Amino acid sequence: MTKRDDDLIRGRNAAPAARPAEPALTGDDAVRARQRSRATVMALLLGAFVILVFAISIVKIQIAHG
Amino acid sequence: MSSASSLSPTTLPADWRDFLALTKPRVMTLVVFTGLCGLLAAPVTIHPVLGFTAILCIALGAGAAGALNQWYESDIDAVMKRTAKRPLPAGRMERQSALHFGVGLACFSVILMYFAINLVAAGILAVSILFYVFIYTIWLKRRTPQNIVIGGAAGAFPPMIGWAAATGDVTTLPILLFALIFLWTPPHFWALALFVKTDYANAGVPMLPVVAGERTTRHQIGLYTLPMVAAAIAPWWLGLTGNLYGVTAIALNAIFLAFAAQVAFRASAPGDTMAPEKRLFKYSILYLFLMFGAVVADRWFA
Repeated sequence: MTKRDDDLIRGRNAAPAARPAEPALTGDDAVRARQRSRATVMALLLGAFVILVFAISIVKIQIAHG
Repeated sequence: MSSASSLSPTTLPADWRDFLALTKPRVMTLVVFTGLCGLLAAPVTIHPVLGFTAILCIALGAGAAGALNQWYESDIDAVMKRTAKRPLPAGRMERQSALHFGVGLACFSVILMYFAINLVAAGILAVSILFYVFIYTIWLKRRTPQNIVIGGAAGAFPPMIGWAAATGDVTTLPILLFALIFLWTPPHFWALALFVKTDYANAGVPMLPVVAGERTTRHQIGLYTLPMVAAAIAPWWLGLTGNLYGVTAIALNAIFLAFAAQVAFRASAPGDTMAPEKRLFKYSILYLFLMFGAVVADRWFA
């Protein structure tokens, strides 16, 4: 178990588990949090790829007509 | 619902940072830089969007090769101190995920290079990925102490790919840049292997210091430095670059020769800090950056 996994499960900068005021992430919550961060990164990458393909298309059209 | 304490790292989906770590970002910087220099040194200017795409493909291809290398070598990474914290040996990711990621990224980079740039660049990129994975990682690395001599070719392709992306062909200068990285790799890696010898020995990797001993390795470092210097000065000698490159190359290679000679003609004592070997290793990285920077500077400013 890495520190990052501990952070995810217990909450980043979490105090020792005995403190009741800060509820710890459950196993499912940790998985959801990990999936959410991966999905966000994937969405950003796909968005960037769409923009790149658009830009390449424009450049290729310009070159073909230039 | 499972309790938090019962969650092991492998039950969590791998973090995106672990996928990034699979691509060996630090190694990628050198690959991207030499690829960019190959592209900028070409006599043809390329549209910035296409140039960016070509470099992106080189980076993704290098990342894919790195991921597949880590997928195949997770067993030896686990026993080496330098690599034990990588995502696979640390248990933060399943091997199958790394394999899928590596293969997917490799295919994506080559296909994008073909459609956005040209067939020659895509072909060399594909060869470099396959060479690194099959020839170096799977075939040579665990079998022969000459692993990094032949495997060094995989890391030498980027300037050729960059050049091919800009021009659509390969001429003498990119071949000499290929030769420079190819011949630079043995002294660079053997200098490293001299001070992390125990790590390689524990992992059963037949690096030259482990198999042939320190004395032979030191001699080989000296011997390989000579053709490397010749390859470095050849572009100027053949009139492919100007005096800016020539003067820079002579100065940088004189320093490299001096550091390599220090390593080649000494013997380490017990408890040695291996300072000359560490200095040669660090300088060899700076050397490559400056040599390729000089090629570009010569093309654009001389």
